[in-house]
Amino acid sequence: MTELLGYVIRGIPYGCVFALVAIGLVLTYKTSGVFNLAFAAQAYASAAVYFQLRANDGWSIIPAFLIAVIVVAPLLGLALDRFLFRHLRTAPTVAKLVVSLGLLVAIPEIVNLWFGSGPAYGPPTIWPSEFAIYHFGSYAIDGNQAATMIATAVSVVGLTLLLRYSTIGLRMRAVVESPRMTALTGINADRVSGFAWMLSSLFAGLAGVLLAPLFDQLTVSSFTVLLVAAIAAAAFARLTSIPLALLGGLLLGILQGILAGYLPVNSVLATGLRPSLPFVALFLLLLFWPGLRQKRELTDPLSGVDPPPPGLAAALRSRGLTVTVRALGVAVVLAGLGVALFALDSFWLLIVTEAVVFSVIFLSITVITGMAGQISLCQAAFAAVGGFTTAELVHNLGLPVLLTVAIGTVFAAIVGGLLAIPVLRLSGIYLALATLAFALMFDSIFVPLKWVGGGLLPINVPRPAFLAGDHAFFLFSVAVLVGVGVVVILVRRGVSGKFLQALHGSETASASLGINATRARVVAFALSAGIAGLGGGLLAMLQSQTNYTGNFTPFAGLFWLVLVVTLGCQTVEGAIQAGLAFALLPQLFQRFGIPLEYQYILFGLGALTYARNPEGILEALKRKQLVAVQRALDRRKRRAERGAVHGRDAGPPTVPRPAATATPKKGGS
Amino acid sequence: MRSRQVGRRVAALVAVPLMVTLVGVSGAGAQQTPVNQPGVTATQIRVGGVATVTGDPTGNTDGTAFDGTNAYFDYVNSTQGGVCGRKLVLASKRDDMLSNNRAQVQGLISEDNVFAVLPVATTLFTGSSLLASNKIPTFGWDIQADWGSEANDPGPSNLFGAVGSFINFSTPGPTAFPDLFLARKLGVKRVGLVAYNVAQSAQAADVVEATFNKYPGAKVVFKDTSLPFGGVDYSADVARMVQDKVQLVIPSLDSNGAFLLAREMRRQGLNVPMILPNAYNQQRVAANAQVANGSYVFLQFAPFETKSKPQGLQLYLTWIKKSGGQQTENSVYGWLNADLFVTGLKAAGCNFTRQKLVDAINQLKSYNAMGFIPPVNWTTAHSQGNGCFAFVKVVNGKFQPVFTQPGKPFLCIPAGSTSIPANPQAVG
Repeated sequence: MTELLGYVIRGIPYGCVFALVAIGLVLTYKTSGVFNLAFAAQAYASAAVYFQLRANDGWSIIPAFLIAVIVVAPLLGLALDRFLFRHLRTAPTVAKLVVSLGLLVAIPEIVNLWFGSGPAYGPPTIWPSEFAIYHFGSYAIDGNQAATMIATAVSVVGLTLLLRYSTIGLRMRAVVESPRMTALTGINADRVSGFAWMLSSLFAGLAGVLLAPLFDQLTVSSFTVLLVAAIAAAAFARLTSIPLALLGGLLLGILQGILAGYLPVNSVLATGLRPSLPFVALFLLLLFWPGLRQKRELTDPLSGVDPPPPGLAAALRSRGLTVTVRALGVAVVLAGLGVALFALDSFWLLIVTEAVVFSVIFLSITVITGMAGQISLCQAAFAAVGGFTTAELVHNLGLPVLLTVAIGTVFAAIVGGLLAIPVLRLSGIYLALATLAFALMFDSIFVPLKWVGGGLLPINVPRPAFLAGDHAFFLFSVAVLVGVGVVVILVRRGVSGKFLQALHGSETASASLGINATRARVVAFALSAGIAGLGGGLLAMLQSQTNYTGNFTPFAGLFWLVLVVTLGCQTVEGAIQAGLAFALLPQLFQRFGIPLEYQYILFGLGALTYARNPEGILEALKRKQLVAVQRALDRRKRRAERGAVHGRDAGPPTVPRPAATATPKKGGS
Repeated sequence: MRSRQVGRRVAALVAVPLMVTLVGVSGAGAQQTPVNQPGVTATQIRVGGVATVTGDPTGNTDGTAFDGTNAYFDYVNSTQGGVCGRKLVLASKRDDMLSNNRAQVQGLISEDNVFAVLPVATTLFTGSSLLASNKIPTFGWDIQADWGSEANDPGPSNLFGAVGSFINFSTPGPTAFPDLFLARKLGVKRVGLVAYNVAQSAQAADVVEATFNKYPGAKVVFKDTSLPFGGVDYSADVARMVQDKVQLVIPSLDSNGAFLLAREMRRQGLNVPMILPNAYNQQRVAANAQVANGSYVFLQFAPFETKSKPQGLQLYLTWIKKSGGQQTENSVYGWLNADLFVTGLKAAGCNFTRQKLVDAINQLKSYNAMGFIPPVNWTTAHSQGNGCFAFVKVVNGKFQPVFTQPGKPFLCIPAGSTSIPANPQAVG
């Protein structure tokens, strides 16, 4: 019993760490309607400012804290509201999530342009005596843990009172529910929203400064890992209750301590369950926690007055223009193939082949997000399933590699279909979180298993003799991409695609038409996972191994989604352009000596344009160009018609002209 | 594709042999021997390297390996005019961004026109098979099984680590000798092992356990290989180690995790020594003096703090400063990689080829980088770990060499030893 009590007590400081982050997530969601994954980036920004002022510039604790937390953090929040989220209040969940992911990628790199990307060891604490230890009986906490616990307790009380009993708290919640209806009551929604973002950003800054010393080295990835683990506590709080977020965080910390204390070390349970506890908890909470099961997404009741999203640019083209564009497209593709086959050296051919293979993987996002409107954050896990299946079957059963790729594709599709069944009830942010939890469980439970991940040395994945050459494999990859692209287009045009589009628009209306939502979604998940698995198998063949850490981590999956959705997730071209950008841009940046940080800033800021162009930047540009070209063509056509009409109109005048000329004649006569 | 490129280069060189010779003679001295190899011109020998500069979550300083190689090349170019009349040039410094190793290695091979690949200082080494199959002499920081391990025994003959290429990842062997020696030296009987639930970390702990089981002495009484990478809560592990009366903690973690573990140990009053992995970083240890004091770090090169510094170390300290590079563990490896490359090149003779270079190195029986590292027998170093180590202890936030004799910074335990001697042979 004493032992159990020991683990419980020791789990409390770490529970407070989870709670602090979970409270931040709940606060932002409650006051802005955004599930803000960029919380980690905002925390990092303040932590970097504090580090710079304290460790490098020698400032004392209070002024450094005031600048980092009270000045910089709210200003960052205000800027985010002014330039971004104010325009996203009535935007769909996917838009807000993508923008927050873009910020998660971009903010740290922008901060690093000033802070530097070199190692920052030993982040300073806000506790006066950095290494002081305080003993309570046989237990001990250090100064930073004490500060975290105090800050967590004060935050819970303060924020609960603010949100529940103050006018500004009420207004913040009202603006989230419906900014337009709130504005109708005479409240300045912009001002309230600005305050909400300043408050939540201040809280992120506080968390950043308090939690940085936990890591010994200041990096944004540490904050991101912590944030992902704390999502379970936020889900426990149904994303709305700050006291429950505290409770969820504490339970998580304590449960981790108990598991670590009692599970037999090195047992399958310990190695599987202990690292994945937050993700298993999140997954189970999303499926079974009553507060979330019946949860409706926060949506503006007046959102129905918004115009529907525009259709695909391609659907707006005239027949003549379609033929011209397609001919040009074919010419560009052929020219690209020619360059790849005859002009590129082995390195660039490898990069372009990678681009083609990633385009295949990204088509899975076209299906699940572009067509079905669902946010899946586990596409990288599906791709890894395909890659691992390919490698293991080749290695253990000696099957031909192309057959193993096919089996990997089918297996990934089955995994996707099976995952779709329990998460069917969920949508929007909850579905996104469930898929993220799945990706994280896959990462921490399955990948370390030798029969999945292969252990120390990656398993060699050979290519069949006829694909051994780089050019042959490139052509094969292109053929696969074309095949998958055609399948995606056929599905989009077919009954399944129409069903998915209908469900995307309104599930209730679709059900009234007799559309089986369950079936359609399972099909979408399975198809999408199968495509990702196929891409994973191809990538394993290309790279001669399944390189999980390099390609398929959950964070890679987040980045993929941001990239594809930003460039255009509704079309096959969007996926291809995303594949090209993903593979080529880093190499081009390196080639031209541009720091790689700019790559992330570019991708991150690209995601921000999603707020304006939910169809993707390239699709929006395409539409603009199309409108301009079509207008020019129409103008020309009208001019031609006018010319013809004038010709015809001029006909009559020309007809009378002779008559006129005749008239004088007549007159003359 | 590669053969076509080589063909083009050969054709170019055949077409203008006179010009090449003339340029060579005018630029670098009359004794120059024409060499028909990729990356070798009349005046230069070009090499290229790859490191994980961006995106490394482990807290290492891989990118500074380039500094070490540059410093060594500056030294050779300035004091010896290069090798065989040709200046050494680190022509390509690629960043594999953690996930792009294979592509960057392909770039080194097919784009950069380099004679050899050095330094390699990457977290992952997915391009190793490309270098091995293309027989390109490669020199690097050998922390992956690809260089040579039980799963890859012997390692590729053209892949050279700084102090041998073989690491024990699954069977008892020299890789874990320093742990055993330290336990014996400190008189501890109960050892605790902590690792992440990822293959490389967990298997490193397995090998230490297996080695402790094989050799008489201390016992592993606590072992946990279930920690999540990036986790922050070590309280339960430390509490269990307190219960198990652990006397020496050996973490198979990255340096970030090891320092967090050290903090928790201090909090819970587990005041026993630990071995800090990948932590030979003066700045970092100074910042963590309170928790790092009393810990040990073992190295396979002479520590900077060695009183009577071997010539190799003196040169490194002089030239890393002169060239403006950073003095880090990784820059030492970059320097050592360059030293082995140049040593091999000189042994191969002035009409060197890639294969001659590889063969020349693989015949070296007692290579020690002018005393900077313990002797390496390259005739066996692709299939047998090196049992020589130097130890430093953290005292008042600074490293202090221990257990060694003046002028002899290393202790060596032969690979085939049946027991761990209390006083291993000191080597200088």
